[in-house]
Amino acid sequence: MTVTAGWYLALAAVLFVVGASGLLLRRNALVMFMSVEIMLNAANLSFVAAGRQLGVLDGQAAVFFVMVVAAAEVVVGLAIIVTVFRRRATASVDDLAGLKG
Amino acid sequence: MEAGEVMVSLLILLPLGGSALLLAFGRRLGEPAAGVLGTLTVGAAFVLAAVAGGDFLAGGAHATHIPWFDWLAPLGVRAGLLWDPLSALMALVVTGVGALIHLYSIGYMKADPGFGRFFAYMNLFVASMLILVLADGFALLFVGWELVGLCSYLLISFWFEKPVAAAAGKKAFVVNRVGDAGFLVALMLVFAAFGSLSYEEVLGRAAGELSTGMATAITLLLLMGAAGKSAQFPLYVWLPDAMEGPTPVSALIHAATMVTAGVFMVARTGVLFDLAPVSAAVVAAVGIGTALYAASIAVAQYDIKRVLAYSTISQLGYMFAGVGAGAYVAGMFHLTTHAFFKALLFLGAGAVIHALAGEQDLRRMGGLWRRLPVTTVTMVVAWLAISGIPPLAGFWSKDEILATLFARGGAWRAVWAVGLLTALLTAFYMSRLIFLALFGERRWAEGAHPHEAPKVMTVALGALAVLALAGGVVNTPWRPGLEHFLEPAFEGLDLAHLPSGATQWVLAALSVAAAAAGILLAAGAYLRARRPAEEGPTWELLRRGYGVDEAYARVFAAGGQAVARFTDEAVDQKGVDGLVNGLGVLVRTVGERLRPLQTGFVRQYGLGIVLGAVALLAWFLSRGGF
Amino acid sequence: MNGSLTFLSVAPEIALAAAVVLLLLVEVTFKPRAWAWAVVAGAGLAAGTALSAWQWVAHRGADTGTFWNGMIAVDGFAALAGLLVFPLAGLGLMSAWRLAASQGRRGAEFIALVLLAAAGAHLMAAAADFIMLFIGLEVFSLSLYVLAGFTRERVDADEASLKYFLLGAFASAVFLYGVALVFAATGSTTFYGDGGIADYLAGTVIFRPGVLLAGLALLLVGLAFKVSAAPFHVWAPDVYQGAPGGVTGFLAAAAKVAGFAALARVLTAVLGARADDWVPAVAVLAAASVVVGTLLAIVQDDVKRLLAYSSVAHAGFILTALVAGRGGVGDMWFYLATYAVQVLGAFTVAAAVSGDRAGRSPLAHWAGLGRRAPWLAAAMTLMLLAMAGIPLTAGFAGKVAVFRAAIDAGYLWLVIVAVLATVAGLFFYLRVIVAMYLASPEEGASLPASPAVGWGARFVLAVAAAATLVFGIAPWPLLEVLRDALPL
Repeated sequence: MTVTAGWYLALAAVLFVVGASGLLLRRNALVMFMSVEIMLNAANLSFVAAGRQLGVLDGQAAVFFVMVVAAAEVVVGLAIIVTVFRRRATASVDDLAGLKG
Repeated sequence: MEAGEVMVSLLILLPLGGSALLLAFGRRLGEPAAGVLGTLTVGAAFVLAAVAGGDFLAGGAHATHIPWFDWLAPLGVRAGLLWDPLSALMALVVTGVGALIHLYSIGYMKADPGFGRFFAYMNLFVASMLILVLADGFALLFVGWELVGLCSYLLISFWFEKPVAAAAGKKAFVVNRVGDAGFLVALMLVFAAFGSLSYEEVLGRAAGELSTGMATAITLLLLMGAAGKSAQFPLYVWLPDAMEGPTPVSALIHAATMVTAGVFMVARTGVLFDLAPVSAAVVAAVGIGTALYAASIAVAQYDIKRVLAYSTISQLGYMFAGVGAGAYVAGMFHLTTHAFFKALLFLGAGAVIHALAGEQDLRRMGGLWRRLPVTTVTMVVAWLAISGIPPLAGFWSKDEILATLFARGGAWRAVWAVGLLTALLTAFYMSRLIFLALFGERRWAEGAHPHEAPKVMTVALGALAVLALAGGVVNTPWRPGLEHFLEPAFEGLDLAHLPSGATQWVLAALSVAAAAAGILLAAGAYLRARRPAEEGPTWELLRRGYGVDEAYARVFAAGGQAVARFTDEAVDQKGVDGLVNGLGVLVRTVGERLRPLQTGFVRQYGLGIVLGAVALLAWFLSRGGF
Repeated sequence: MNGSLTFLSVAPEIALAAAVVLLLLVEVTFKPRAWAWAVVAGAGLAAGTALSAWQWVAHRGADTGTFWNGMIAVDGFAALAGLLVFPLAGLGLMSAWRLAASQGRRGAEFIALVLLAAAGAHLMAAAADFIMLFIGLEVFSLSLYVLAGFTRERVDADEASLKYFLLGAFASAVFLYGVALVFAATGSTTFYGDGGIADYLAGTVIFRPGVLLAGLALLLVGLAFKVSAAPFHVWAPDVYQGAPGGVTGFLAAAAKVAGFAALARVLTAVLGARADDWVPAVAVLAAASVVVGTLLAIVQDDVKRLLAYSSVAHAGFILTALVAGRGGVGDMWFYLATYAVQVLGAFTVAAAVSGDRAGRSPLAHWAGLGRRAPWLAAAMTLMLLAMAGIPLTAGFAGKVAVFRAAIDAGYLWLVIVAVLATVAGLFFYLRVIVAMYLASPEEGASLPASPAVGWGARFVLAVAAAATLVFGIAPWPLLEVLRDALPL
């Protein structure tokens, strides 16, 4: 059995769903954020696999941009989560529901 | 711009400028300067309207389009005025009656802390109404339409410290909004059909381009808007409450502005109603039904202003019946005479209330004619005018509508019969009001010292009485002056005509007989009685206006609360102001029902986004599949 | 021209980035007074505006040119976005100036973040490639996440910031995955030119377009989130209410402008060939937004939250223009530009009334404002009436324009829904006006100190009021310019 690009795309789809589910199911802001990172990596995997299959380098190039952006996002995200944690001594998003309605 | 065009533009700008001045400096001007300024601007506008309208009287003058600015011209939206006999007549009525009401208010609003603010709003009201009637397209008509609604809200809840007044203002606003919804959708359909909102384009091209179905849809929606502004069934509920405002406001709303807007709009868009006979019939049916219905409620009211309010609704019903039957001239004629005698009635009622230091209950009046001679004389003139006694103004206009209805034959004869019955009822309830308030025995408290109103008020009453007395001469069967005057405005329309010769005499005799019968019945019942014997379930039902108001509140509020019970949020917190307006509660309840969805929990927001994404995915994939 | 590496094409971004670097360096090195920040920020924004103006003069009406191997577009559309976003950022800074100045040394960071957000927003409008669009989107969003929580000592602000961040990152990931799927289907992330996506979609018959369509759906989700269209609006009320008063105006205005600029380019220029697929979906999103936004705004008792829901409804009105495809883009710009100014003005007043650090702005704060601060109340009234679409304000002209576009596109039902929402919408705008003029402050209610309005905020309100009136009475010149300068 040869492993074609289609398998990678399928794996990426699974990763994407896993990430989305993690965001919906986990309470800890940090874990939720990690789930988002998994979703970004699902996109990365799709880029690479599709680029390889189509014989173009754009896919691989795109991944570098995404990785840089993701790193920036981590910086900002962690800062925000730490701020919340220092103030409230919790990172559970279910404790943050003061704004609603 | 020519001189005439400048004059017509000034017509609006004068009261508008007056309003701006009064808003800015009203407090500093103080009494009575603020009132004088307000009266003068409206009076000057009347003079301008008379001068500019003179051309039409001479005959041969054409409608003038006065462009203001392009606004969104390429999208078919321009701002400009249309000066034709119809708008001239309306402008004359609005400014003429409006000026007299302003004059009267100088006396009535004496020593009110909001004196300057009152006249600012009143001037704005007149200016808005002038924008509405002079607009040369639906867009500017809508501007006036909205402004009139806003001003009525401001004026009805003028004494907003009184919770009833604030609630009444809100109710007027909400009910008018329901009508406006229909009106706006109609405008969108017009926009879709013609790509323009100017009268010239729309009314000019309608005959050739508009299908009957589209015309029917547009006109029915327009009727909804008209019914809201002109207080026709079932959107009349705001008008009886609107008397919570100061009495001159009621006079202005009931006589010169606001409520006439619906009738005017139907007349203005007569071309469209001509293309949709079904809608025209609905207009007439709604009109005559409302006329009878409101008249029957008026019979049982004790509050003097409430009687007049239901009377206005009923009289507007006549006008709707008239314009629905194609008797545009008769409808506009009745609008004019009604403006005279209804303004007079309200101002007279104001003088009575003024004299009794705020008393509005007919059961605690009576025998006032000795103390209030001027008010009594003028009120009697108005009473005979609205009852349809010749040769007063109301007789000519009402009779013209009734005769035209009869002349159309067929089912219209039934409409005529209802109209005749309403005439009898009208004479009855107006006589009841006059007898209970001014004649018979005195029933007011010992300590009260009724006194005649100050000069400014009686002068206004006198002027209106002259108009109500002789206003009919403008359009008699022998000298149909108004018909010739208005003819150019209704060119090419399928106009209904008066019957000829002997029939006309018989019909006139019948309506005079109906009026006389009503007056005699009332005289027998009320002139001598110590206190009116009006008991029993029928009176009770009528007094409560068939319970429609309560039913609205019950149906919408009960339905709303039933929905609210499913939610965690109780509707009660906001229920107090919500209960006033049924539809408002309904909308609010739906909103409250949606509110808990916004839980504040990030993960549920995420779920909402995912569900939305899945829906979008499903749609897109259904477009092509895998 | 195609593919050439011209720095002029990204000059506005460079100018702003330079200003940010300079600002932070100057701050660290000289610790100057606040006016020095204003000079640097003003210079950066002025340069950005001037460069956009130059691009506008040079490129309006011409075909879209791409640079940097098809990554950056230079055309009237991008220039227009710059001409709107940079002055808007300047106004936003003026509106928030007291907040920034009160933050001590962090004020420089605040200003830097606003400038970065403006650069990101412009990049979103000028991107000619999905990867560039993604970078612009992230630069823009990351700045806003921080700004939303800038007064971190306050409870609501950190909650707003975290919610905005988590959901925003999630939406960005969805967007990116959509881009990846589109790339897998078409072999390109570039919009224009040979082998670009527009070219591919126009020229190729796709037999099994599942991957492509799924990608389009996810792209749409990401962008609909940014413009807060229902049902992707859930973040907006919480973030607008929780964010510091001084920031919210810029946040609301910029997010709409940037999001819609990107959405319009992607939908009309790139996916124009698949219009049959996305137009009905956009119409449904528009209808859902006006209905949900209006219904929920009616039941709010907090003015900032009310304005947030109203902004959801406005997202729907703006989407109504996009239903008409390219024909509606000019109308969209008009609505967007006038609304952005109105919403900035309205939140500026809210910041003055409830304090520019405060998150919440309950209706009780507004009672009797007409007497306490007549000019502020008058400005707010004008903004609210414009948002309600009352004639002779720019809001009315915008509504006529977008409704006309949708009617011409055959979406009468959508227009009727939108009109009914407009009618109902007047209720909640009027509630605020009534509170300002007809209500008296409750006995013993603890009102915030009497509204203090800085010169910056005054200037913002003057500009907003003037624009609202001028473009309400004579909208056509602007509308015409916007309509014929969008080659795409």
